[in-house]
Amino acid sequence: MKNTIKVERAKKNWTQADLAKHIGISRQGLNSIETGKFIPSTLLALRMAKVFNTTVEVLFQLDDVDEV
Amino acid sequence: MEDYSAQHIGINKIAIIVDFLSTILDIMKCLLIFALIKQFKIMEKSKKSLNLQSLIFALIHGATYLPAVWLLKYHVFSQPVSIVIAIVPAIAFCIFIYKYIKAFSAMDEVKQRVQFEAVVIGFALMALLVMILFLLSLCDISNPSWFGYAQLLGYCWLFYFVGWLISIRKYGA
Repeated sequence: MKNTIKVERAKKNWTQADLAKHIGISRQGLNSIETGKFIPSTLLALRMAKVFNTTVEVLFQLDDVDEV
Repeated sequence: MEDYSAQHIGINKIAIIVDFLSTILDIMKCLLIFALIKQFKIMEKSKKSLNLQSLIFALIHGATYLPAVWLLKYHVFSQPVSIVIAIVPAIAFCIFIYKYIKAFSAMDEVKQRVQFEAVVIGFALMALLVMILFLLSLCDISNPSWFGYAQLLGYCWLFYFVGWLISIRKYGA
């Protein structure tokens, strides 16, 4: 799964720590989501979309290997 | 007769003093319990303190377990006293597990996954070791100095930390 968290974060000029604080997780946790090592729950994805004022589909996209 | 009444008055005075002291002791116990409950309520408010609490109780368990092993191994006590000594670290361990579960529920989902995988890997490795030891014991092969109950407990913790390291490396958290 790909994500555009880094891009959205850069638009807002936020550090990982800033975003992590906004969505209520640890900075290390956010780092593993951003690098694609961990796929977040729906709740966390929605929270992220809300703080970036965007949709989950913009933040997360399926890879070719993920598609059925 | 006078001697008897003087003795009686003396005993009464001692009884009053003992009563007074026990009342003060009771009040102090209540204040201590109240202070502890208040402290725990304050501590329970933050997530960080939940993690800290589980760590503190893990250390308390360690601090009670090692002296209990030493006492039971190198000193001879009556059976009831031995049972009490053996139960103290078990109680500390139960409190630690309760605090660990509470801390687990307050963790973010990445940390929860790391802990979950650490426990799963630890459990699987431990089950594998116990199974191998059991099968070897059927062939009359056993080495209690390396694989006794005490050593198995150590392996249990070792496997948990192995699982934790694997999971940490996997998620980078």
